[in-house]
Amino acid sequence: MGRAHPDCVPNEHTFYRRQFLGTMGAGTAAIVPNLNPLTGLCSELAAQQTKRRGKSLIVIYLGGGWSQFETWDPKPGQPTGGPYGAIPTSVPGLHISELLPGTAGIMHHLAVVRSISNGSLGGNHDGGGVLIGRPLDKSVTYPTLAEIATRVLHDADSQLPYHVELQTNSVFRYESTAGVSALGPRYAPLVFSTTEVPPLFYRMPELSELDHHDREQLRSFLSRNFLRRHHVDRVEAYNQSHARVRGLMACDSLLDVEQAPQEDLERYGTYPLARHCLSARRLVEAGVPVVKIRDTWWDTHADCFEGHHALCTNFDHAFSTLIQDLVERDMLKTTLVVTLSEFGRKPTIGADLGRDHYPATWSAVMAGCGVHGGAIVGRTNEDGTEIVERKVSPTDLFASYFHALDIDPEEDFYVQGRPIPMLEHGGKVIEELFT
Amino acid sequence: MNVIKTLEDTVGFWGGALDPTTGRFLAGTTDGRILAYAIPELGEPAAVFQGHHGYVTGVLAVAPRKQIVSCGFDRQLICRDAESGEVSWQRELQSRPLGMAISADDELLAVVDDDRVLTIINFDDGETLRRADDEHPRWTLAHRTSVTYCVAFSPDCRLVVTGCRAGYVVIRELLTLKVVRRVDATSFYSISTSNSQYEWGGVRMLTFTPDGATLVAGGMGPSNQNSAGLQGQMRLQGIDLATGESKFEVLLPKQKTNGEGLVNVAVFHPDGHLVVGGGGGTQSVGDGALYAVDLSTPDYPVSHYTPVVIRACAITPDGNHLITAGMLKNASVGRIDVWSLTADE
Repeated sequence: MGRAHPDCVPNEHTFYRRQFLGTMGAGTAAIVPNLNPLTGLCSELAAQQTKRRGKSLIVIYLGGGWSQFETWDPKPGQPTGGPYGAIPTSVPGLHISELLPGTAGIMHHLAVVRSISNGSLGGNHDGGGVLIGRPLDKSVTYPTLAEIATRVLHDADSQLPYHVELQTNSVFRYESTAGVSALGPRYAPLVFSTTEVPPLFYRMPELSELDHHDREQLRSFLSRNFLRRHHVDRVEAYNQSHARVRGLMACDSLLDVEQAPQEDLERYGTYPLARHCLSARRLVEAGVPVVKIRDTWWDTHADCFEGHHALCTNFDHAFSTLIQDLVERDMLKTTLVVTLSEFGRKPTIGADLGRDHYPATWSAVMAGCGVHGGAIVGRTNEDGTEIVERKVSPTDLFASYFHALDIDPEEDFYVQGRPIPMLEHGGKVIEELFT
Repeated sequence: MNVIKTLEDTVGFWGGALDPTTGRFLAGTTDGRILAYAIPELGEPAAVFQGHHGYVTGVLAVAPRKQIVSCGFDRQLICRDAESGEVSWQRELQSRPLGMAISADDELLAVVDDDRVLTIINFDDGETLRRADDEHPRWTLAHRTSVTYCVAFSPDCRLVVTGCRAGYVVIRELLTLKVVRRVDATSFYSISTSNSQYEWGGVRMLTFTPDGATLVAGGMGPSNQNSAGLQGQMRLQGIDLATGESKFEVLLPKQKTNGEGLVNVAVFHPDGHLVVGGGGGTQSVGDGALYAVDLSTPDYPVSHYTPVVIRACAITPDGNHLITAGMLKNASVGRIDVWSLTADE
């Protein structure tokens, strides 16, 4: 039963749901049989989105700054090298840290850049600058790579979320305080801070499917009537949001990773990063264009070696499984997978066995969307303190990501009427990644 | 207590032990060597033993056998003659060993590694006798992979105990490796819930009191929630073997950075009451501390500032000297100190 406006006479506007439904006629009846959201709408949406999908992006963000020495650019035997050795990979001549044995086996699908320097970002660490591909600016909240990609890759008609962020925990420093970027809330992520789907994604248990459906019809009917008489942008935006929520609710089985096939669950593993990698594959496969996985916390100022043992062990299995899975499903051709961190870690090892931040030299990997598997870009010196070949800036990385995703670097977005280029000036595509 | 000799080297010292056979202190280095120094003289190494590639994580001297055994991140376990350095046996482990112990009867060697496996080895030939990997949790509270750091035999050779990053102590029968008890020592484990989910600590050191009645565990107490480093007080805990209950808890007194970080090592003074050890490593500073606790009055611990994060220590059999080794400010600078424990030196 509808609720009357408090200023009106009781019963004056009382609206009876069954009476309303009677006026909806055959149109409503046509929808009613498709009430089961798990088997109906979700699969149809997924199929539609899959057909429409062009390219997708999975960002794996290693928050806090991971160590290039303990991952992609090991220096065994050097005083700066730490205790771990290097192992051969599936790319002849390329060695990576022994903490990444699973990844070593799939390196022929990955390209590694070993010569990233944050120097062009200015300042000291500029962790946030890496995420936006340009120096931080107090006057503009620049969009992240994931937000830019969402704007370009999203399908406006989709009822699936455009941009999902999966976090291994809900505690972090930087981005939580960044606010909505200049691109607006539409491209901001739908955030999951655990591997569980929040309860609000589910229909309340005391509400039947029929009632749930009826309520939506009522809301939609009233909204359309209102819009016919008073066209207000805000109401239209509200309707869009509502449609998105309905789409999300219809896809609760997609968002609930525990409903994945048992063999997938076993293959990926039980810990949050593994579950998120599986979720990312499922979401992209269903048509979500951008998924960001946020794994924390790699900021190992002390206990760097044990910290990286713990974190790399988790990362290695989850990441290598994801890449292999994308290959097997023929999805890597259209899915760009990138790892991002704010900076690397210092060559000097503290007495507490930690490494501090090091923005001058660090590494990242990427795969898919035309990125040449097995490519090695850049080189550092013997002890990893300096770049000796092919220095690359975070803006160059962005230019390369844009190239892989067919994002026009010349395109502008607008802040208070001012055009701002998507790509910071000076960014150049790293051609070696695509040849 | 005074430092009477100091030596600095351009390599870090991770592990070490006193060899009663030769009277030398054996320091395991971050470049794969074992340097043998005369005590208390120090000076140039009396012997240099090679064979490891990378950090040496443990050195033990087995006096009756006149042998020493070492382990490292290269997964190698090397047993050699204490004087000549000639290798008696060498074997490769499946994972990286982080802790070692020798049984009181000098027959068995126990090794724990970063795959949470306990391996009991026949000291005669280096062959594995038993393995156990079933009781320490795979994950920490933050869902990160845990490791086992330390192992100790009871003086009567009935029990073997292990400690892990997740904050548990597992007590097993030595003969069967059957679990007697798993002790929750999660006070040694800290997780920051307000600042990016740092996690710190774990059970880093285990040793039995000479009477075998109490197990002493070491590590770090609750960490500062806003810290990117080891900002908790160094902590010891006595565990009653019969019940698994805590008998005492010692948080080392803190003055500025002195007394903060991890307890890495402990040894008993020949009098049997005084446990002496070291550690440290507070955030990015590299300061360390030496501590002493009289277990008959554990509420009154003493700690002493050192610029070295101590990773190894030993007391000479006559009780006159304490040797500490560790890293000074960074892992490429090692330092050994010889302390006098007598009033007239």
